[in-house]
Amino acid sequence: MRHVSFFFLVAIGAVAACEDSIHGGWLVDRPRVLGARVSAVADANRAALVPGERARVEWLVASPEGPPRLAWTFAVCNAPDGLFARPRCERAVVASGSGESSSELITTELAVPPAQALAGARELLVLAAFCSDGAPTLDPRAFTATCASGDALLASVLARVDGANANPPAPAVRLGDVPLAPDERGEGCDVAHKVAPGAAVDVVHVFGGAVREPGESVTLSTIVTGGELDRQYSTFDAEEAAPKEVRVAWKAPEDVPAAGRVVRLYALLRDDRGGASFARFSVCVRP
Amino acid sequence: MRCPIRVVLCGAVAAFICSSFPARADDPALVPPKLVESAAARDPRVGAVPRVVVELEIDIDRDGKVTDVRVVRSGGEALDAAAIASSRSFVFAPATRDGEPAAARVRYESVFEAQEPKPPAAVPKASVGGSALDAQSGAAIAGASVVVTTADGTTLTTTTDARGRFRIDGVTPGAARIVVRADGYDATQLDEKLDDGTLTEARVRLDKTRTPGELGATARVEAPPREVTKRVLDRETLASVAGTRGDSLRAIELLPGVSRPAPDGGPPILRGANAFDSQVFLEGAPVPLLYHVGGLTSFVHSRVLESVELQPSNFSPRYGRKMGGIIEVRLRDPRTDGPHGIGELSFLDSSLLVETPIHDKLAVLATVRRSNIDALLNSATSDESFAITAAPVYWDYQSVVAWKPTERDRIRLIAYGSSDRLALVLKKPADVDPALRGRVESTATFHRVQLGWRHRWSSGSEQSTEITYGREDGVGRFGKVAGFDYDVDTVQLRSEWTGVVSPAFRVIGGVDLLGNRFRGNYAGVPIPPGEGDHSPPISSQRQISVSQADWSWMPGASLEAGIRPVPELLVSPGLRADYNNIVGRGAVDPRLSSRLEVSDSTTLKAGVGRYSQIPSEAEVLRPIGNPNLLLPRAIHVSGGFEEKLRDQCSISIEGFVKWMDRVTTTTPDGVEPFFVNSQRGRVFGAEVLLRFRPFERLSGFASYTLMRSERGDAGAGLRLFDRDQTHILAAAGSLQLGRGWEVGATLRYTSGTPYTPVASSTYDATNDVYVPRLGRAMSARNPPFSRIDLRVQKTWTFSRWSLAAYLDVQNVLNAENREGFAYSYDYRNRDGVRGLPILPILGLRGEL
Repeated sequence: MRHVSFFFLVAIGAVAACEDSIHGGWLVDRPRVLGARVSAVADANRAALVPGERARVEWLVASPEGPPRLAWTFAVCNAPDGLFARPRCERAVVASGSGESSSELITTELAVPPAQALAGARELLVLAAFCSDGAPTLDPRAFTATCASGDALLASVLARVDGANANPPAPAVRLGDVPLAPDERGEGCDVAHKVAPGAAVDVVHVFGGAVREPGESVTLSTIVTGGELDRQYSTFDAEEAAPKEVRVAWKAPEDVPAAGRVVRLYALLRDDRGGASFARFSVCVRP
Repeated sequence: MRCPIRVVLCGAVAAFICSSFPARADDPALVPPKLVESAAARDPRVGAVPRVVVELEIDIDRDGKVTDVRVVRSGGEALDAAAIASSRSFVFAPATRDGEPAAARVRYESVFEAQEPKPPAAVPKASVGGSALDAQSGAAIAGASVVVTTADGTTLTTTTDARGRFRIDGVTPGAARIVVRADGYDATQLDEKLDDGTLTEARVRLDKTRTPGELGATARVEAPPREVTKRVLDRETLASVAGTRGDSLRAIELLPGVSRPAPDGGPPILRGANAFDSQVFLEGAPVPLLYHVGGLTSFVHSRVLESVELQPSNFSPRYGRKMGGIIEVRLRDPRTDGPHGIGELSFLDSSLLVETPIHDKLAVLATVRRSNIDALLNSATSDESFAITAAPVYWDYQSVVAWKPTERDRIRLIAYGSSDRLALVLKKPADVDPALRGRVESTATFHRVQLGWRHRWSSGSEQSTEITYGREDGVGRFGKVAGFDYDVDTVQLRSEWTGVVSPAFRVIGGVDLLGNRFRGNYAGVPIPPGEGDHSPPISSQRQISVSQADWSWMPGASLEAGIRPVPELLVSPGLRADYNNIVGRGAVDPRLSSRLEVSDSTTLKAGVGRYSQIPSEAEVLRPIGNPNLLLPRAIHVSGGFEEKLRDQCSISIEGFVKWMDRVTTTTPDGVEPFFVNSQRGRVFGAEVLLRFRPFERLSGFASYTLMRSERGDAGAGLRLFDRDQTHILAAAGSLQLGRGWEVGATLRYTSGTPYTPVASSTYDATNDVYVPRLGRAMSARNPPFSRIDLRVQKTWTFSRWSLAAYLDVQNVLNAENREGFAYSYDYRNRDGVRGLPILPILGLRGEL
């Protein structure tokens, strides 16, 4: 056990060393996959799938310049075994697909294999590759992909095919005391929420009791395309009482054009059991 | 053999028939008597005596019998009597006159020859030889008095020569006590069994007589070393090593073959072995740690140490269950010359040691220490990311009660223990992994109590038995990562017999039963591999839950012989047997070592042996372990020589190889059965140790190791071990400036440790973290590690006590010494994680 203690202490020490020197994942400074949401086509709130039904995987992608145009391909297989399993298809691919999108939300659909084909698997592994210059070539066994030029974005998500689990409701946030309207996009800085360059304001989220199922812990990810957040993650653990308000300090970018700049803010909720939801907001930073 | 008395018959002359009367044809024919039977006269004299002649006149009758004897020329009363007594037993052929027997009178010279000192009688005799050495420096002690007292009360004395050597011949065989005294040293005695016609070698180490300003030391006589590599560290040398604050166990890291441990302060890496393949023993009982968390301080107060023995490979059969190396810590007896105490206060910790005799055969010692870090750190360290709610707190204690009811018996009761605690709160989830959040705390405590009895027979044979009970408790909470609690009861019975069949043949046999009753609960991420690649991010690992309560029994036995076919050669064959009930497997390992004293200053040594390791409980217990594991094993081969360059300077050079197979490792991706014996390994290298004391006030040592440690995972070729360090250079010295001032410096340079670079990463949307993709295993290295430590101490000595103030500065150049990397959330960027920054520690120590 002392061995374990040493390991964790070192891991935590490494984290502490990282905090001040390398920014976290809260800033979209390149095209990125920010999250994925698995749901049944028949019931968008259901995260746990049923063998033989159709399912949907929504990938949230973002870029500092706005919604990226991406070609994508995906492959599905039974999740690999192992306590330290790494994302790759050790077994046969049971579903696949490809396409293009210029939206922040890329939706793919697949057919969940029948129970017999699942061979007792409790999870499906969905591997996806995204390219900004042509269709990616995906090798599911190694989980590598090539684009015409540059690196492919590689992302994976597990889809549960046993038990029951619901996707949490989409998160609502406030900027200070002002609620933000989700999915609002405008031309230029034509959005409702405006702040001054360099302004310090909190992104506020309130975890309600309905956001989690019994025994669940829920994690909120807050990500922006500009400025600085004091952290990416906020948590609402199973033993914590509802409601719980969390405040993530945001310092708006200072160097903005006179016409202003739209900063996208993404909020993602995960229940650590495969359930997820996300919401997108826009804030204008203008002198 | 020469006869002590020689009698010479020089002639017999009849007075009346002497040659002065020439025979005539008409004279009767006279024939003198002829001596036909004689007995030598017994010389009553002893020692060196001159040649003496006693002239006798003997009357002989017609039958040839002696009828009277008179002294004509005296040689002294005693010799006259001896000569007369002897001559009365003479028988002659009678003299004849014309063919008829006749009485006669003759002159006879009884000669008593001169004698040298009386040569040894034809009775058994033995010899004792050896050397007297300074226990600390190993330097020869010239002019030391050596007194050998045998069982019949005979006392023989001599003094050591310029090389510290002595030899006494003609000693009555059997039990003998050898007492060596020298000015400035405590007298030392050794009981040996001496055999007829055999030279018994004794290497006697004397400790310097303590003064209030010096560290105490107990004289110790060691049997000649059997092991190929056995570094016995003396406290006085190592207590002055800069950068250790006088902690002798920390100085182990400066010895050859010892790699820098992992930054978590884990056990030292001995000749390329995984830290957990080596074992620390305290008085023969395994202990769970060597250093407190962070590695700044060991768990034993240095002033309680008797010795620290480091055996980085080819260790004795008395140790088993491990295939790396051995560190044996021994505690000294309490002082018997009155009450003493030592109090110490530094920024790091405070300690108190007291000891006193109860009566002439019973003495006690106790020490306790507690860290001071929490007093400074709790108030200083708290920011928006994390807060230390309980800074590292450690404490430890040791207690020794020694009772010597007879000269041959020692009964000791030892108790010791240690505790470490750390608690902090990560106020917000880490950006690299949200699983790292919340309260992080860990407490680990252990206690041991040991009762030991040692008896020495007059023959030199010895028997020692220890029974040890230990208790270990721990609880840990690592946010959402893991939580555990456990307790372990440990029982060990260890008994060892040393039989001195003759000075040329000793047998050491031992039994060793170790039992652990453990109970524990664990929930969290899997236990990480002990060596090799990184695990995926904690969030991506599957949680496990274990609850266990069970016993593990590990009986062991050892047998070793010490054979001297010639006095200069010691051959030590041995066997070690171990068994573990959980895996249901055991091993019998043969081992062999030898030492050849080519000359008084040169010793050659070599060894080979097999070493089997008992897997840990975590590796074999269901549901996270594999109860079908085999015992990992290693073959150790080493050889080298030791050379005394001068009295105060010595060098040893050794080469070594270890081959390991069936090494336990985790399965790829952590699939069942989770642990397998699929790894192999190879370690090879050479090391040199130079001890020097060019003049009285300057002493130190330097070591260098050139080494390569490799591992091979299943289906892959050999790669570097993750703590491999090609070059390990260390040097330490201390200089006494006078007036109580002492300065010391330590230099350490090692190659950087290998690591597996991160090539890229993929996004895990389920857990909202990036998973690193690794490059070729251990294909990159951290920069070399270098560190200079300095120590300055001033001691004020008063009539009854002393006070010392010291400043110990670790990493005085504030070298970065990168230990690894902290990565950005997506592994695209990284920052080096630096090692220990400059750390000055000021302390005060008072000694009574």
